[in-house]
Amino acid sequence: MGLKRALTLKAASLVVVLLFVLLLTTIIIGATGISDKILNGMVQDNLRAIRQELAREIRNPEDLERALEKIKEDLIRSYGLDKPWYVRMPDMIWRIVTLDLGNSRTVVSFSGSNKISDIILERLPNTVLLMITVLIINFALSLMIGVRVATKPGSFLDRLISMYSAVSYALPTWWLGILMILVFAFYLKIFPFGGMYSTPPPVDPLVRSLDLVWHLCLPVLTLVIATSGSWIYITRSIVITTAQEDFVSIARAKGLSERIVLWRYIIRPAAPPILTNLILSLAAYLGGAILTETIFSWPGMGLLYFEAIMSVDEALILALTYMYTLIYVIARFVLEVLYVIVDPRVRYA
Amino acid sequence: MSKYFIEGLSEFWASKTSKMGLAFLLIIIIISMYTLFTFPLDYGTRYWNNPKYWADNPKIAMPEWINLFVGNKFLEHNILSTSTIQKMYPSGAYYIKTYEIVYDLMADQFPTFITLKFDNVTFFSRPPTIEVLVIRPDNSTINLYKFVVEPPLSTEEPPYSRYVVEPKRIMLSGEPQLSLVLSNFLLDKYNLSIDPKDVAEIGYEKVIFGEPYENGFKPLKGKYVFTTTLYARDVRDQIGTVSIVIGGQVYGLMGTDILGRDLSQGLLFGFPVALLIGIVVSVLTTIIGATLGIVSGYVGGRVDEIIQRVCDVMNNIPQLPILIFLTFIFGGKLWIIVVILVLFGWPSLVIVVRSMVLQAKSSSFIEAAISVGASRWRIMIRHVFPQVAPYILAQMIFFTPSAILAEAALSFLGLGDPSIPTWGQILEYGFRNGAVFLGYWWWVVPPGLMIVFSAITFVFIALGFEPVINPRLRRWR
Amino acid sequence: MSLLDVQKLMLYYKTSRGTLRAVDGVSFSLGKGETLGLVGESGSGKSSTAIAIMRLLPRNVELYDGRILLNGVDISKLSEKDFREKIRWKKISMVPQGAMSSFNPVLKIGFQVAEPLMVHQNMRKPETLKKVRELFKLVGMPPDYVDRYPHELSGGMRQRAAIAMALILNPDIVILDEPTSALDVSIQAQIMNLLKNLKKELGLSMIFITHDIALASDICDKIGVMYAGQIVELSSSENVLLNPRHPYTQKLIASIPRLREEKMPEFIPGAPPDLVSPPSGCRFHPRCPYSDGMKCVKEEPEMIEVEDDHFVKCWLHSGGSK
Repeated sequence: MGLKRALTLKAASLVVVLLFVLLLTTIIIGATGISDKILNGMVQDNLRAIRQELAREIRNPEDLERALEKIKEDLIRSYGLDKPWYVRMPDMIWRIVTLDLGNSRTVVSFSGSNKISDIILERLPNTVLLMITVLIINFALSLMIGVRVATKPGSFLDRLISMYSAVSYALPTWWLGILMILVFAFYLKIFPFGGMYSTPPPVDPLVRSLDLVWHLCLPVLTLVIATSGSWIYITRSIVITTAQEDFVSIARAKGLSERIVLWRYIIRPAAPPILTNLILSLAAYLGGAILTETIFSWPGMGLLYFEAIMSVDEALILALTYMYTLIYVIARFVLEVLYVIVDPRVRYA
Repeated sequence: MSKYFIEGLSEFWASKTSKMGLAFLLIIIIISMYTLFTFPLDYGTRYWNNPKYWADNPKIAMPEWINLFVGNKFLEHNILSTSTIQKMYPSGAYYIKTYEIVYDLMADQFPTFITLKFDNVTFFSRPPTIEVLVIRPDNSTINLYKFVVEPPLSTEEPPYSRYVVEPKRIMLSGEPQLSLVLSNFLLDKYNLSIDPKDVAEIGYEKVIFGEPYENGFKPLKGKYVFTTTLYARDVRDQIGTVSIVIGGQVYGLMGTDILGRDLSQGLLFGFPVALLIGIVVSVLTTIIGATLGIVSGYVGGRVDEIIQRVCDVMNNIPQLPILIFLTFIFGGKLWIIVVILVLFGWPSLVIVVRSMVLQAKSSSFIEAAISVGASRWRIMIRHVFPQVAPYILAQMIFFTPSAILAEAALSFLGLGDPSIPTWGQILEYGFRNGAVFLGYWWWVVPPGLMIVFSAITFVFIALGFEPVINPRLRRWR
Repeated sequence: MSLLDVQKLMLYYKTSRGTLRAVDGVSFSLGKGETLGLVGESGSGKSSTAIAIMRLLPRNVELYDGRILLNGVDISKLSEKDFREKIRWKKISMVPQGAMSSFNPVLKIGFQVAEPLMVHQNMRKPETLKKVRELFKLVGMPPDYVDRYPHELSGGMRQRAAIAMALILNPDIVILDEPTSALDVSIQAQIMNLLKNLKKELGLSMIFITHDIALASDICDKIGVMYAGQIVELSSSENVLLNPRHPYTQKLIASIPRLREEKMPEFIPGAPPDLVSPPSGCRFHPRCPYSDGMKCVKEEPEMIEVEDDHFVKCWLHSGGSK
């Protein structure tokens, strides 16, 4: 019961976030007239398709124009272009939610469609792949190194980690990516400059996946170097704090082995605050991923952002902003559920 | 409290990181001041984004100091000018005036390009003809270029001035007739028959500044005398300045980009901009965040509830996508970027300040002040604020690097303010022009280093502040 | 022969300012069924003595020395592994200071109480939980609390669970480190009653650590008064309370607030000594009204037996000329 309530509350607050972003973006594009531009573009697209179809049936050019004029009026009405932007806002929001944002003017999906939903859905897995890989590596690293460092606070390694985390706070992920390309791709030639597969992509599934891993190395390395410092440092601090708790000395007094003490009495109770930290760093992490994709031409949504900005594609940027918020909200929720699982205090509160 | 704060400050002084941070900050401030005093405020539009201003510079040239590290020295960029008339004599209907420029080729490298430049040509009757030739170290002569100054319009009155606002530039490498001249020269001098088309392929610079060697050309070191001859109809006709640009492979302290822009200037200009963005954003964010945090924590009730809800939502928005969206829609003006960064920065501070205020509020000291009947605002300003002030200050310093980094990220995505050069924009331009893939490290590494340097300055200062705001840490060090 | 005999126990810590002498030559003995109170101000080395006996040494230990005889065997010479497997919790268990933080917040109470059974006696979980339920009844807890998490228990209940946990392996000695200081007064009384009952019923031997000499006298047979890492007076509870010999003990007793008495409780002037650079001679001399300014400052007094089973570490009683 308490569990459900806690999760429902979290979900509700995240939905509010999503709604807020939707409202903010639609009001802005409405008030600045950009929504008119997007909808007009959609009307034109539709009209072009209809014109080709009708041209086959109606031979007389004048009739054709007249018929098209009527269809155009219908279209304008159905898209709500005859009404002011604030009247059609609910409709607009629905359109964004369903990713029905018409076509991109410039970007085409790998399969050749220029429908925004096609483009985004095609890129989504690539972004998720990159982010999850980095997430797992960071998590493992912070546990392995953070816990080890925590047993020797003040040691050389410990100070090194503190320094590293301070420096990495000031280090832009994307610039680090540039350095990595210069060093590992340009000078050392061990990794590719970017992309996801070699051209042409290998056909054999095994070689193909190895090729993918090879291409994944540099972007993952970049993100890990840029973000792991603070993860390790925070894990270390949390573990040090937890190790000072009374229940840890009691566990030792109980004659438990160091291994049990470490896992059951230090790492396990440290999990919730570590997870909280993960939740808080998620947004920064998402931002880092957008820029890293751009640097490494990783064909995900982050690169798409860059392409959309370069070709001034308003509809695409709007859709991406929504998608990123959605990914963020979903990731947040998954982490919140995890949090509830690892921390009994929330479960019964 | 004041004793505590002073004690904290001495603690701050004692820390090595904070001293380093302050030293760095001093460097940044000095460089920013220097830049502000020597560069015009409209530097971005007037010079940086004006390709003509950089026309004489070599493109994508490495920094000069690279020669300290390489055995085979790269050729330095050279602009040679003269305004003195070497010789002057009448010859038939003409008055001949000559201008001489001597260039000493010392490096084992060919110049990358040659540009002739003429400023301020004045004539009184018919347009004069200008001819440029070079006498090489081996005493052979090549006629490089010849042209007639544009004739006067019917509305013009003598004296007629040409190339005043903008000098006449002749990129020799782009002159087709020169290939014929050079082809003939090679035939005469070395008995080498090379088709004019192939001469263009080899590069004029190699023929002018070199001699055939094995299958190619090698630089011919020594003095080259460039002689410009003015064939004037009037004795008063003259050229203001004759210049020859010998395109180098290295340029200046930081090299150049693809437009020939001197990167050291762009990097310098980045300092005051980064400092401005960092400080303005962090100060504004802190003022808003701290005020709302104090109000929220101190007043409580409905006001607190509303502020907390808003913060909760704002804090849960993924920042970069929204920043991208807003700057994209509202345009890349620096002040808009600043406003947007402030708009999405304050909520995180509110929560921290609020919890500190709640703590301070429950202290017996403040309870006593309330029971004595001090007014709300008085307590807030006289008692609550001084208690949370050091935290707020530390938060403000900690916010500065994130503002600098956020602007850099937006600039890198091409959303920066084009009228003001920033490090992020230099990086973006470099990245878009393939600097990373072609190995133009001097274009992309220094601006990133500057970003890291300025951000880490504030991180260091903030770290030095940690023991001040966290007495427990202080005791344990 | 006494059950526990602690001789010249020392525990020094390394700190940035120098060596901190937390426990500096503490000796005492504890008989079977006896309760010894260790009383002193915070920072007097009471808890460090407990830590030293349990060998729960932090990383910055500089010196750990002395003999700890349990039934005549010097357990301080045991290897780390033997000590962990044979002594900890089996022979000596403890109830920690903070009732709030003595349990891992993410594990169920029942599991944490039963854990020593699983580790030391290889019992299966269901069996152990049965035992825990019985124990819970003994300490006055509802048996179904085994399935609760620590945060679901009140402070008093949590302390009862901590006591149950300390008793789970039937240890010879239980060290109670300020077991009631974090509790409300009424709950405090309940816990004290529980401890007294357990003492009577189980014949438990206890080391009771507290800053409250009145509380100690309520349950302890013997009291050792600690000051600056040393025991300065050690005798039966009656002796210490009614006939204190050490000036510090006298001050400590005078500071107890009393009902039905005109006299205001006194406080002890001065601050507890810095254990990194403790005062020379008798460590109490800077705060002592009887300090002669000579011997007390220069030489450290020996622990002497001023009357039968009443030991004092003070020049006033060491034949010093006063």
